[in-house]
Amino acid sequence: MGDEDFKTLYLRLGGSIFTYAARRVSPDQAMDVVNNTFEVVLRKRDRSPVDPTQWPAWIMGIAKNQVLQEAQRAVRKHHDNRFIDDFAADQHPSTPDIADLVAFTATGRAIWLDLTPAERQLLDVASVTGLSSDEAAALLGISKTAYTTRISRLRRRLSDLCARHNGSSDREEDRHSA
Amino acid sequence: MTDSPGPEVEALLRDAEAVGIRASVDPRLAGLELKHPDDLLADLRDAEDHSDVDRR
Repeated sequence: MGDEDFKTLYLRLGGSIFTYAARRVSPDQAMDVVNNTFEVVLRKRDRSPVDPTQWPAWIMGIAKNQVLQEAQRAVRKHHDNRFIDDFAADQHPSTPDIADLVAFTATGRAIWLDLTPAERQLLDVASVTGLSSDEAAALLGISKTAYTTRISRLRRRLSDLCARHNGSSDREEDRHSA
Repeated sequence: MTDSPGPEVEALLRDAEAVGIRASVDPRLAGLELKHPDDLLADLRDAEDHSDVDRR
């Protein structure tokens, strides 16, 4: 993998990795995940897959580990600071709400919050550009058939949740206008 | 680089956008920006050089 390959992969996957990470950790941590992922890529590029078509999946595997490490670091930090936080509850730096970053409408936010962690992860992986269904399925540790079945199921689920939330907001409006 | 994710995945991402869920999150929404690839590579090389010096 040469420098130009490295830069092309960063341009292609940097945004996807940020999106993937920002749905689990804070935006600042998500940015660290992007930079740390490519630090590992540079360090291990001599051991990258021989076939360039496998580079995106290889890099997403590294990103997945980086997200897990960042999430564990955040839990440890929270644990270490918990007593300090008890005395400084009003002095926390504001942490942006992940749902506000992911959704751009009130309905989208409500639907996002209703999705299970597994459904959110499926959506995250599906949104990574440059991954084939085989690679996305491998990243989730499931078969390609299971992946495509879950994608179809998630589409129905989004549709159901949308109907439910739009129905409840309609009822809310009716109540206000009555 | 790889084959396309398939029409069902593309439809899912369109559905998500239609209900108000972003298929991709722009770092600028959080006031952040991805580094330029040349800058990232230079920074990583620089960090590599420093860690080599530290090791020596």
